[in-house]
Amino acid sequence: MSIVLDHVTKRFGAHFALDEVSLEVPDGELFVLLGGSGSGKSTALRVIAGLTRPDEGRVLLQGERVDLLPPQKRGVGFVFQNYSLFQHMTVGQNIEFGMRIHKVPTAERTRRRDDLLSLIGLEGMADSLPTRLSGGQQQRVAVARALAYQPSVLLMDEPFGALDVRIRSQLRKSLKEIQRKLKVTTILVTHDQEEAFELADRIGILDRGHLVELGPPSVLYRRPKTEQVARFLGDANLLMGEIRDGKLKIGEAILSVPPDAPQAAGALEVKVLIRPEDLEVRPRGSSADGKGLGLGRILETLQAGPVLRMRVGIPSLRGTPIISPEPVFGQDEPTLMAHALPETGEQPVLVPGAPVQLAVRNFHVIPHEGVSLLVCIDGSELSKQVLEFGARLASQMHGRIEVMGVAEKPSEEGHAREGLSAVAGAYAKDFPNLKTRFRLGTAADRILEELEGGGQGLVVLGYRGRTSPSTMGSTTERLLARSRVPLLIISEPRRTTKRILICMGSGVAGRSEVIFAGRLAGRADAEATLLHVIAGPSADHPGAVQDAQTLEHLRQVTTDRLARGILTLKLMGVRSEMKVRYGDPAAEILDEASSGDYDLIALGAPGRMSAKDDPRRTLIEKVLDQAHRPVLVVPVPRQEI
Amino acid sequence: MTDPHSPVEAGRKTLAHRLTIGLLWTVLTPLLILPIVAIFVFAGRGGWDSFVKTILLPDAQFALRLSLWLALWTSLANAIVGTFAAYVLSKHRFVGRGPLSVLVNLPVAIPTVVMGTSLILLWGPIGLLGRYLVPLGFRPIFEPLGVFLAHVLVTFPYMLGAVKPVLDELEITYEEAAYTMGASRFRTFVYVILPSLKGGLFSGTLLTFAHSLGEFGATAMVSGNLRLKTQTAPLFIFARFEAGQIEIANAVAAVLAVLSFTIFLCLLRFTARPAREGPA
Repeated sequence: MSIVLDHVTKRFGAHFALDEVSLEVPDGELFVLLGGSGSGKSTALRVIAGLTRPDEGRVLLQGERVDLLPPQKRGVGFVFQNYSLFQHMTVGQNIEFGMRIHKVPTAERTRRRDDLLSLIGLEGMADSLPTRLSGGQQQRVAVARALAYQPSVLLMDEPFGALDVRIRSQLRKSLKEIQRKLKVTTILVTHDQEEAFELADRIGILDRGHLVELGPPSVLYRRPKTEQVARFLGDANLLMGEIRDGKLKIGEAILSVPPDAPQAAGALEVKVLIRPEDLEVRPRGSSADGKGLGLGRILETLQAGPVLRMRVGIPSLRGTPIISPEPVFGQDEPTLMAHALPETGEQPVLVPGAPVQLAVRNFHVIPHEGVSLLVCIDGSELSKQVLEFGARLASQMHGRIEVMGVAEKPSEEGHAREGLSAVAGAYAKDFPNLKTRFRLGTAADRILEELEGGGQGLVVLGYRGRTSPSTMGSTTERLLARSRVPLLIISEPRRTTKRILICMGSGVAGRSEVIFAGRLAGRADAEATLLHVIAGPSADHPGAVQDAQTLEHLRQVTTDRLARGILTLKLMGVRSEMKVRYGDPAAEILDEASSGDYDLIALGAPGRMSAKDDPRRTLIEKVLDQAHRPVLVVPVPRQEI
Repeated sequence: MTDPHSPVEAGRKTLAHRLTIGLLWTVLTPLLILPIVAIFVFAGRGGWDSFVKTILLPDAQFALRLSLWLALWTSLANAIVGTFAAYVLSKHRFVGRGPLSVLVNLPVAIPTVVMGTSLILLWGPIGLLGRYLVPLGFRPIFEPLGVFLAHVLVTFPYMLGAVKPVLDELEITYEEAAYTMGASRFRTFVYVILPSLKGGLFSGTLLTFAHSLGEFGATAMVSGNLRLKTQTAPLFIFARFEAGQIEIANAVAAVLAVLSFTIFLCLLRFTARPAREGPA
């Protein structure tokens, strides 16, 4: 093995840039670390080069432990995104710099310099200054300079990041050639999927410091192990299916299961990945290559370069949860994405509105782990109850929990860690993959940090009521203002979650909370009630403040919106009914909640409710304080309000 | 589309334009241009021979030489200490970095006379350090060494101001690239960082030199204005002027003016050149 990372952890303050990353790169491999910004990919590279010292773990190069050595002693070649060519030296002097340091004899040095220059196609440019070269040429010189003293490994940090698209693809090819020719073990870091796919022998996907998955590009794309990777790489149709007796059932379609799919006695709920290019769209009646999925209709087409992108509605998938693409509120039929080659004939048949049949050429089955709940505990009696409730809900939803212990003072760390390991022990049976983690600081900050980049679907936390009349609990308040992930706030837990009251907001709001609460209800097998409160006088005296006509109009509009919500819920396989009430929203919600004995109230909340007198915030405060049952607050994006 | 009131469009030939330019000359001539002219007029009054004779006077010679030597040593000292300070302030993060950055720039803001006073209160016989050092024989005040210390102090921010921005701009990756290629910290500094600093160092040194050459306030306090011992050219000019020997004062002033003018031209030429030698 050329490069080995063994449980490497690097923290910056409370932020984990690398969290127990282990990785082995064999000799001669071109390995690509792929991840978004802040995923820790550059940190990983710097740790290998010795430019950043890891907090924990070991780094081995050619079998030798190097994590305590300075960069000078590691013998790695490093290419920076900005090339970092020494501007006062010529191209030749730049390339020779490392060899001079390593005391390579002059003749040898000149020969190797000229070899490298011809390898990168810049013969005779030894005497030019770097500033006279184009970006692409500078980048090639940087590669030559890093290779000149024959390092054991080559590390490249977004080497094409600063170049324009056309030069990039040209350089990728030449880099691949050089790497093949010299057989130097290489790790390249990028955020560009296309680049990773084109270059890599293997790809490792890094997310918030975790190495999520690694493997050859085609395997990661075609047969990812996790939903996260399936959705991260390219476009994905991801829907729920059921494996029973060696057959996969998606909606009404039955497909035979590939041998590598998970098997179980009885029925097994799984996720099915169908890449858009594997979804065959043909006019009805014609023959298809793949296995039939059902009949549908093209909703939308988009000619994107060499690909025809389509959104296709398939009514027969009604009731089948579709994880990706995400449903659009009010959308009345299940929708998938399909890619096809553009049609060349005079009369295109793949046009919006065209009735089509759909078939699946290839699909991949991913084990279903369910939604992940982040439960935050602080050792109090309430947080024990919260954890119990969260665990119940998670198992009801076939999901997972992650438990986070937060302490504000370093002195509390030992105690908190003990508590966490007790929790891990207690729940080990129900949740074998239970993750626990300890964080130091204020709960709201640490939770928000944990949520960055995703992974968790829901935050569960306890709520002790207001400390003073004008403020909510500070953690709750800060999370409400800033979290993009829904919050389940528990003042008094319930035994089960069978009945959910979804309160649709006024205005255009109402899609996010319906979709999220619907998904929760679907997974927990609960039924839902959609409630809308028309603010104003009670129904008995409609004429008292508003005239009957206006009220009737409002009722019409509301019923219409609720009906669309019901449709969306139906699409997710959730039984639901609608209710319209008149009066003060908070009072009516509270009244409905207790009279209907609901287990959970779901509300939408616009992000950034900074103003103390924001009516929406006042409403949430009231419901939180007086509902005596769990409240789910779903952040609603601005554009929906 | 064109705006007739725009100074660019309409201004070229109109009377208003000419008046504006004329006004600028009228204001600047007595304020800036004539004073410089005046020096040369007075210096040359007695003819070339008398000018040469004047600047060959022993104490004029001494003052000019002292000023030049001081300027040279001050520039050298600050080139070293200033670069070191700039490097540490730019590349290291440490407690007190913020306050220190402000402190080292203070000499620009504080009147030089005050800086001179502060030096006397530090090194003088009753000063904070002086009361212990003077009995041991270390007495920089009223000595050329004191003047040197004053000049280093007063001109320090100019060197820092010229070098630190270059270092701030120089990304850490240049150093890191050298490290990964096996270069030690020292080699990296000499072969990678220092060459990038060439421009900043050059203009910093010239600025320091020019300021040291003309330094008056702090020098007057610290030197004691001792003829043929600590009297620099500016002090000499002032002393002769006060004594009514205007022509002698003017001759030395003309020499200083020419020197400063030359340095200024060098700086101008250097900074006007496209920054090809810069770091990145």
